[in-house]
Amino acid sequence: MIVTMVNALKLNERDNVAVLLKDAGAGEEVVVQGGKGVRALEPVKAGHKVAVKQIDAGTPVFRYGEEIGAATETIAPGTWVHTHNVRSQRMGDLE
Amino acid sequence: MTERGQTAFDGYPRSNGSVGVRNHVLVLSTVGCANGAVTRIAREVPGVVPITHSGGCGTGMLDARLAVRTLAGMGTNPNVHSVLVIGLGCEAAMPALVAMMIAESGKPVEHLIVQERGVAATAAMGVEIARGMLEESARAEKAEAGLSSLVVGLECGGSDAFSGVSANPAVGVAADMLVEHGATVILSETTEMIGADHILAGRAKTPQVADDVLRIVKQTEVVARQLFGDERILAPGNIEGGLTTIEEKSLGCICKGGSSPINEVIDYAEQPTQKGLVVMDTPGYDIESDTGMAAGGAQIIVFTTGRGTPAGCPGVPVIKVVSNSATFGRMGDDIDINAGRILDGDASVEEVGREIFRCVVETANGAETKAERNGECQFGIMKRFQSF
Repeated sequence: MIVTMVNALKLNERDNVAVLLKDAGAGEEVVVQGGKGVRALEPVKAGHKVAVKQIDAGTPVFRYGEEIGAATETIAPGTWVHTHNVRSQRMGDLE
Repeated sequence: MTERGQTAFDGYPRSNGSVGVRNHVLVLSTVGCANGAVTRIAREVPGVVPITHSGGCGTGMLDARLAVRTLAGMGTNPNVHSVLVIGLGCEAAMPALVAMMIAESGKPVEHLIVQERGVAATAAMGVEIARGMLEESARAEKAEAGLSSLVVGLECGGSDAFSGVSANPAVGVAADMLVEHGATVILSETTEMIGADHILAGRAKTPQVADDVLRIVKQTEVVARQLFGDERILAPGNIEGGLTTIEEKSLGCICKGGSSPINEVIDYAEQPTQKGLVVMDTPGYDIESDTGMAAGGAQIIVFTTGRGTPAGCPGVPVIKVVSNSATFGRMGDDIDINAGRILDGDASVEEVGREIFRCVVETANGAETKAERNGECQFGIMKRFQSF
């Protein structure tokens, strides 16, 4: 397995995702600035998010220390976090 | 840059007390049907700034009033020396009314009606008037003004997941510096406050301002639900760039406003009555949001992007700040400042923020932005309802 150093940013202590500064391939070790590293379980593109800890289904995804949505399924550390597994909490709760 | 250069600029003082950073003659269409005459005049008199658009008619009263306020606001912008209004004659955005509202600011203004003499004769008369206005504008003299005379609009377009990490926080640093110097800074795009409204409301100067922030965001959310249903309110490029939800986009967007208290919430194309940071209720569509802030009196717009955009604004210099070096590499001719250096480890958010502040002051002193040099001057009036 190829192990490459990939930089990613965790912006707040509360965050459970980090934003990649460079593309990461499956199996690559993501070095997270501002937090503990994680091994990417699948390819994650630059600018996209990787889970740095487990996010249970229905619980908030945190970036900037704020809620950016809720997980639609349980997300394991190292998983690509995007529209396929996160829902907005603002657009679903209006009458 | 000299010490003075950080705290003052040489601008064009106007009779109503405002100060222009440019000295333009506008030829302003009041309805899509009058655009042809405006274009003909601008072809003959290249020194003018023509404004053409598809609005001004075919709407209900609320949108007609919004169009009139926007057009009159553009004509009243401090960067404008004088205005030639070109109307068709029967439109909802009545040309005489628009001209009268501009005249109230003390600026020279004239208006011509296409239905009174046809396009060719209107254009011929317009050319003469525009030439006279240009000659007159060339006699305007500059005078030193404090940064408290500045109204700076903030915009983001074609955002990506880096926008909220590099470009927007750097603009936030510049926004705080401008506010410290007594300027007015407008945070816009209500769509991109959904999910960040609790933070903005928490920074409101008074409970009334907090209520106003929550009210405009709630209104926008209700409309967004009608327009998008369960779909995400994100452009395809936002999602491709890594943004997952509107909350994530909004939390990045509001970084542009820095950390100042929010002193006022104003409607689209309204002029701020307060200094410091204010919020304007504009749509997320950049062209219409820029137009609203320009009509509200912004002399300069600072515009961040991730994916890249060349958009400018007629009569108003737009400073482009990009979030990442890859886009800067592709679109460097369209972008003034590369905040991607923050991600590359070559500069801090503070450093780029101070650079943006200096760029605002230099632009106020007359330095040309990339969008100006490239002749980018898009214009669009917001509508709350459909045409009919």
